[in-house]
Amino acid sequence: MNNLKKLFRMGKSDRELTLLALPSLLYIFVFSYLTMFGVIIAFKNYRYDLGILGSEWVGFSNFRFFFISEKAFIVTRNTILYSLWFWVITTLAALLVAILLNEISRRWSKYYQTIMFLPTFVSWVVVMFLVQMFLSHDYGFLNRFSETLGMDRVRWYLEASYWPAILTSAHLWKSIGFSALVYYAGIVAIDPSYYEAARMDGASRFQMARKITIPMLAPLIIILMIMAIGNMFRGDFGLHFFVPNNSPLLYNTTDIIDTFVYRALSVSGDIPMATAVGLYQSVVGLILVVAANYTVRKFSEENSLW
Amino acid sequence: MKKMQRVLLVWLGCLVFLAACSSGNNNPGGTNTNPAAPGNNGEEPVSAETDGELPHVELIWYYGVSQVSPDQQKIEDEVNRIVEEKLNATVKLRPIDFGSYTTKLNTASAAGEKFDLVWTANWAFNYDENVKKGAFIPLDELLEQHAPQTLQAIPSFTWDATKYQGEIYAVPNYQTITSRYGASIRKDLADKYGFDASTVETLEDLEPFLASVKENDPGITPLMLTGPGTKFEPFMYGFDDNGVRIGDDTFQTQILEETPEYKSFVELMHSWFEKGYINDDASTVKQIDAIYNGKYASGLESAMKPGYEAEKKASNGGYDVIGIPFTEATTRRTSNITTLTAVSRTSANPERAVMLIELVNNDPELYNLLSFGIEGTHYEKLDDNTVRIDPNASYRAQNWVFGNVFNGYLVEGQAADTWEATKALNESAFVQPTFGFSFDDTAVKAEYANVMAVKAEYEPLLMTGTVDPATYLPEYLTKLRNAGADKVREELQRQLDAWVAENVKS
Amino acid sequence: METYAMRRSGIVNALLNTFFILLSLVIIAPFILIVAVSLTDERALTTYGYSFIPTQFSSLAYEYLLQTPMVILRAYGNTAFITVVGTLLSILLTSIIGYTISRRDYSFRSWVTIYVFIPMMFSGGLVPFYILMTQYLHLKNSLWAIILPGLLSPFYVLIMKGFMGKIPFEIIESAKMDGAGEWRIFFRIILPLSTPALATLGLFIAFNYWNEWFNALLFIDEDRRVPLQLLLVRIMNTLDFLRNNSEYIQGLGLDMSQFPNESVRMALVVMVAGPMMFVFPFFQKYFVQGMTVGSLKG
Repeated sequence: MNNLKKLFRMGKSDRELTLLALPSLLYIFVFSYLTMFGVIIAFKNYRYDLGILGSEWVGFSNFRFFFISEKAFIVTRNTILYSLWFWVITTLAALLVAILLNEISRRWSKYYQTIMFLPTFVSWVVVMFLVQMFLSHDYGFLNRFSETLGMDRVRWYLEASYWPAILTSAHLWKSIGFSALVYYAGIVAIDPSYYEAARMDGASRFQMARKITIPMLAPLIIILMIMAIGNMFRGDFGLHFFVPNNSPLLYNTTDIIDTFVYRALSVSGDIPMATAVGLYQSVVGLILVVAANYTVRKFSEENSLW
Repeated sequence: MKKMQRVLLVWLGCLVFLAACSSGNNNPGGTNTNPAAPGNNGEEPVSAETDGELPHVELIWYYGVSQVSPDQQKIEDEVNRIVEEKLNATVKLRPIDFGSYTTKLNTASAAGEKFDLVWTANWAFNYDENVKKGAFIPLDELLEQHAPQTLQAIPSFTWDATKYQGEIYAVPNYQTITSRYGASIRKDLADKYGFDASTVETLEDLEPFLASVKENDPGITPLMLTGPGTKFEPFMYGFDDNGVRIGDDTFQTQILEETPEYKSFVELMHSWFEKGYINDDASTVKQIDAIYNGKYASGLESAMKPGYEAEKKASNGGYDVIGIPFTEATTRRTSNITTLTAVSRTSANPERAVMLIELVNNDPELYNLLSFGIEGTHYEKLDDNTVRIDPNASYRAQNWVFGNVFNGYLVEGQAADTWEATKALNESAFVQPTFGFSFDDTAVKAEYANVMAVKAEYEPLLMTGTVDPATYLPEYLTKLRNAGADKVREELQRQLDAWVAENVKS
Repeated sequence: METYAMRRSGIVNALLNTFFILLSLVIIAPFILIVAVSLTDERALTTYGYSFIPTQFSSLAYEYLLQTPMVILRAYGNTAFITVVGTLLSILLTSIIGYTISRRDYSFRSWVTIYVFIPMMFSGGLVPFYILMTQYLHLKNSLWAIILPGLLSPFYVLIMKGFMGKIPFEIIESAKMDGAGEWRIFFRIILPLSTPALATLGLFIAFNYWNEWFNALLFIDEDRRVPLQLLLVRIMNTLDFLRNNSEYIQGLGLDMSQFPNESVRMALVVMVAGPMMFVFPFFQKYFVQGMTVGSLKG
């Protein structure tokens, strides 16, 4: 009530700000709220001829398929572990590359950055064919090469234990340029006077990186971390589906929620069950983001998202 | 302040744009906020079509292609010249690449998009699932009224295969509807080792040939298999597709994976794999493409149709092959619904859509135009009925997505009697006892999805012999059971019993 | 920084450069393989396998692609349009709402924040979205169907809010004292001060638009509106799909030889990603500049 009154008697400043934000508010309304009722598909036996509202309610039965599955545990574990691991390794590698980039002359760093950025523009399907060029049993570059050295061929696509490393390489290959650039831009933005002062005090480069660069980048790192946590339950479908070439012997180490659901539903293309799993992923993702933000807030309020 | 006004103008512009967008749908016939617009179930009066002019309508037709052609518009114009004259309608052709087709059409149908004709199959934009979800309209009456010739030209059991709860929901694009399991071996190698193909009756009989190749031709894979392409063929072991032993008039379904036949098949495959007869990456190879040309001595075939030896020769680097069937030709429900054309429930003109199906299926000029393009530009005629397609032609399509292939041209390399032979085979093939029955998974959706996931995981491994069945088969069976295979089987049995009671005279 | 870097000893510099040269080589190796394959005669591939040096040189693949240069040029045009327009609009929408909820004195701050945040949790899924796009907004076959859906991400709004919340409130207050309205403050003071945030998010957003193909797959039927990535993804996906269903294809008789062969596909990859080698350095210059300028002012 109070708020409603305020709405009609709001001050000039409030009015202007609301007006300023109005296009975005409308946009969100149209693109998010108008379509949001569609979540109910997850609780329905959706028939096209009956429509979303007219279809029969079936409670949580669309969720059953995922939770009764023996695979639910493995794929959930894989999804979370990969998300965490990818975040850690990408952040570390990108920070290292960014800090080193800052140590060499601009002219050269530009070329390196461009090269590192290129894989970002390659889609996962292409990466699949690319990885095959290296790993294919008979024609792959690696096996041909090891043969000329007199070594045995490796059956890459049949051995699950290689794949965490291969997926990590593929992920790093594709994402390092982008992440490093973000951190590099962050470093360039740091006021040079900090470094000047540190140098006066005789600090080494390593010390400067540890005492100035990393703390100054902390907000950026934290924001990216919270984003990563929000998506922890949603793996990179392209990476996990295409790159292992859907080889069944690798599922133990490559399968994530998204690829499992795809495999189970690819014949039926069942929209309600897919929506149900998506909803489950969003809700858990939301809980994780809220928890992560809460934790960050406790330690350093200015770095939290809200 | 002036700046501010200018900015305000920009915002206003945006607002007007958004407002225009969100109220864009103000035609009275359009769908309202509730996408549950009443679907027309083909109940409109279907009268007044013979006398009087038909009003002009526009039809939208979605179908799959391997690649959209640059000359698509030219073809559409030509098609419309014919369709305009005969049906007073224009067609918008909407070819979609196969890779996008399923996602795109599943979404569009679920969202109730308006289109008229749509290509569907059991391997892309799944026919059964979409029928169950109410994406198509039943066609029985419409076909009788508007497509009598098409109805006539296709054997009745093929129509049976399209039925869901007794009604036809799509028109089969009539072509090969049989499958025949067997092997193809390279003729030059068979001759080299004096292997007499006519002595082969079962899969096991291939072994001496594989052994000779393995021993003497180190660069050649004796038996080339692919993960998705290698299947346990129930028919070869006396079962039909629903796991009923052929001849069992109690129609008891079995989980095929638990049968001794299945076990012996995977054991055979594994022993061959161990002996090095099978390519070691079989479980991950998806297709035998150009890179394997001439590098393998034999392969398993699931669809040995008339003229397939010629196709095989072309795709395997020009080596002649000998086809060795292990079974007689059989027709099963799935082999009859590999390509169909349905009428969408959102079609505003279902009668005209069916008339178009009739026209495409009976007018060779229109059919050949859609399938091969324009004579002289996209293909040249070798004789009355055979064409050569220019490999760089700017129009390419698959003839089997449009209609009855027997009305169309043959492609260079196909024998002149290919169509006759195929038709004869179609009509003489062994019809499986549970033909016409189709399983509805609605009651066991969750279990069924899980069973499918387990199958997708284990089948390529066991079928290609990649893993040892001594450990993997029991594991597979346990997983199947845990996923709910028994529950699925019980439901299948229940539905099958009901079907048998209704359809099988004892 | 330039002079600073130069003052360092030659050995360290050489080591660093060696590290980056090696890293660049590792990253670019797959591209070299792609280029090599695109320049190799298809038959040689089957005999010698994949190799970094074309075993049998052939430029047929490129000749084949360049037969119809319009297809690729048009796709470039579409992608460029989508990326530029999309990024600009997106930055604008993100910053106005991000700024508004960053203002501690804004009365509806918490309401609006929750309003922005809820969609992160529940999205309606594909079907209602598709209905909205095609039946209400009538965006089928329009490039706006690719631009509009990605305009505003709640995550980016929250990040923008975080950045803008750090601008000292005194700046806003003193501007108000001088009689400036909220709009003037936003466009004249806040936006210029936020260049680093705008640049960072801009890069994220531009990158998303450049790589976007899913909305195009859903909404674009007409060939002339296909963006670059979709052009490639369609070929690759179709090939993969057909391979996975070869069981059925075999019976139907689809001639796979009419499909672009390996060399052609790799040539297409080169043409999609290659030009970025030349375009990217420009973007990157502005991006890093934006950051630096912002920090000096801030």
